[in-house]
Amino acid sequence: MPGYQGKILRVDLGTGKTWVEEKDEMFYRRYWGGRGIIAYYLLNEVPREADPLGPENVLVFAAGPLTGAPFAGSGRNSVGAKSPLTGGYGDAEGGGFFGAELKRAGFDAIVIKGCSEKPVYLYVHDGEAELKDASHLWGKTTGEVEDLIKEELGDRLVRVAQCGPAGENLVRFACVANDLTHFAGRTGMGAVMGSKKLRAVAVRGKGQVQVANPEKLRELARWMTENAPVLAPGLTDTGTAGGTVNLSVAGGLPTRNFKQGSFEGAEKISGQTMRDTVLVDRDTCYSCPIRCKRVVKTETPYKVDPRYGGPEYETIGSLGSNLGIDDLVAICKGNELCNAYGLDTISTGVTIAFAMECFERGLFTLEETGGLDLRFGNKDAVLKAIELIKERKGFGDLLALGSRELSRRIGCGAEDLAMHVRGQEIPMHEPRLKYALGIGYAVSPTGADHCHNFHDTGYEKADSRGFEELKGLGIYDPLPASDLSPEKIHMFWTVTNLRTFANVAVICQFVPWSVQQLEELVRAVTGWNTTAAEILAAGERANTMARVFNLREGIDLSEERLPKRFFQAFSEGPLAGKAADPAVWEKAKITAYKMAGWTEEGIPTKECLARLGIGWASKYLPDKG
Amino acid sequence: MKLKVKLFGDLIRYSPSGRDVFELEVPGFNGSDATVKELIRALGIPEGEVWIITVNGVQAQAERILTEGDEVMIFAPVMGG
Ligand code: SF4
Repeated sequence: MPGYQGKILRVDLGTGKTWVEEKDEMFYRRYWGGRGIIAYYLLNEVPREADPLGPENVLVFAAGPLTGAPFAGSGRNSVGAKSPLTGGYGDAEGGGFFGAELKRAGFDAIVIKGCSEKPVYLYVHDGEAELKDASHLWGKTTGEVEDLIKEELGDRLVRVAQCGPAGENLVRFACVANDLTHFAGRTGMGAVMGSKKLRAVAVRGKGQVQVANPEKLRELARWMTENAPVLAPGLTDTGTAGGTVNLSVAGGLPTRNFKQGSFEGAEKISGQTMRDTVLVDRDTCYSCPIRCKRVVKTETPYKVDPRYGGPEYETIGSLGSNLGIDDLVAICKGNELCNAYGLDTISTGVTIAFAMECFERGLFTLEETGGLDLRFGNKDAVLKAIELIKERKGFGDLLALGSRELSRRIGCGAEDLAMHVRGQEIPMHEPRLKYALGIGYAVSPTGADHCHNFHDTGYEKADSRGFEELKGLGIYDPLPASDLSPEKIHMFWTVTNLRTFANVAVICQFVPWSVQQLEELVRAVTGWNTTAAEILAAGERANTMARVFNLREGIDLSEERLPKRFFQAFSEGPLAGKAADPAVWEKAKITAYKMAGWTEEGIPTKECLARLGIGWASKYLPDKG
Repeated sequence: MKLKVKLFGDLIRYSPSGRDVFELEVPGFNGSDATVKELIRALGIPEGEVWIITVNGVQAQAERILTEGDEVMIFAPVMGG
């Protein structure tokens, strides 16, 4: 079938059985892949109130209909399960080659339940699957495991997704690493793998992804290869970290646990400085000419191994400015350690930032931190903390809980210093700069997330590239980043649904395909008569299903809010005196609920589910729906 | 008038040298009446692609008058990811 294989690999780690489930075209057209398929399985197969780290949780690796077709940005995959970090719907996406390889191996997704008694890894190759002993891999770094699996299977081209020692140790924000340099970072999916004693999934396939109109697809792929140097030269040149100085100058670079918005050391840790100092290569994902991935190497004062890639912007912020660290080599080292251990750099950094603020305020003593001098800027303390988190030793065992749980245990007002939404640490985008992004943090099904969110600053000017896209979707008035009017909320949802589409088609959001080109890509790969309306609905449907899952799990909707800090203006810098009024913000959130077809309390109505073609999900709604 | 220019993000595509940092001799500018706006126009950057401008490290508006040796940084809007 063009675009999908029609097969989902099922695994029960409790019994050691694997089997194949076949799905028809309408399943893929309704749920696509990624978040759509994950939410479908979580709603239908995870029992209510299941322990995220218990055998009842279901872990899904999902590609999408566009994944693996030969064009830029199609190498990705999503990983989803009930999240041990938020207690609700969890998923994250990673780049690289794993998603494309999974499709070539004959499957659109892998759905895994149960827990193994002893460590195993799953080997999937050309339509076959086997569970293999992983006792010898347990406790090893991601690099060691990658080497051992490739050696054991006698295949250098196998693609490995794995949880790292942090996942084994159930660190709540452990991530899943693809090929050592690409990460499904958020919501603790590595801990779910660890709880199942599933250390890795290795995939290899010699098959092809069928394409309905290969000639049209070739034409589109060629167009992007020719135009990427003009459309996205910044990403190639300086990677995602190319925006570090921009944000600092604008006052929106998270600094010292979001206490400040500009960092005096921003230039020293920027993508430009990285390019001019420690960068040794640029890496890429399946079929992508942009090459935004960094490869760094250093010898002193810290030795950084280039096989773990280099820091993204998120890591520059979370292990740099937000910890008061202006030493790029130290950030690269922290990034390497997180990658070798399987830790999400955002949650790791933001949880340490929280601990640093507590420490400076005297909520922890040096004795309580086990001698870690957690003052902002102390890079050696940060590197040591990363080791302790991975091992869950000493103070690291507390940090491994994440900022929400840790702040609850401390009490004494520490909750107000923990920068998270519903348990997920806030990424490196400042709601006092981008107001509707803050609404997005609150209403996202995964807690604070930047990937499927709306970045207001891209839509302020009529002739900006970001806004140009929206005209084709019927939005004609650009709005300031600080606007929270209903018009802005409409813009927010349109962009959120569009970005979520990337996570159900399972393609990269950085490759600058226009909406019209996305339509053409879907049509060329699948042969469907897809329009922009179907694209937006696919994103909205997946988001809504994930929300229904959260409601079924009894998520407290009063937690859909931002930490108080984001309503207090900075006292200095470019954004001094500017912050959303809490009443205006709350009203905008309710507008967002209503515009999505939810009640004022935030519950999707039956009519909303019917409009999205998922009326069956209404049985999971609380009574008010 | 010679200026030091630094372009950020995708604005690098408007660099005459292909590099993000360069010196620019702007013909027709004579000290007192050259503005940031004119520099941006001379580089061929569409107005909608400019987010923030700084001159000698301080945020500036498009009407800001430039003088010999000024360091101008031009930033594209940051989306997210
Ligand atoms: S733009 Fe970057 S992240 Fe996206 S596919 Fe290309 S190399 Fe990978």
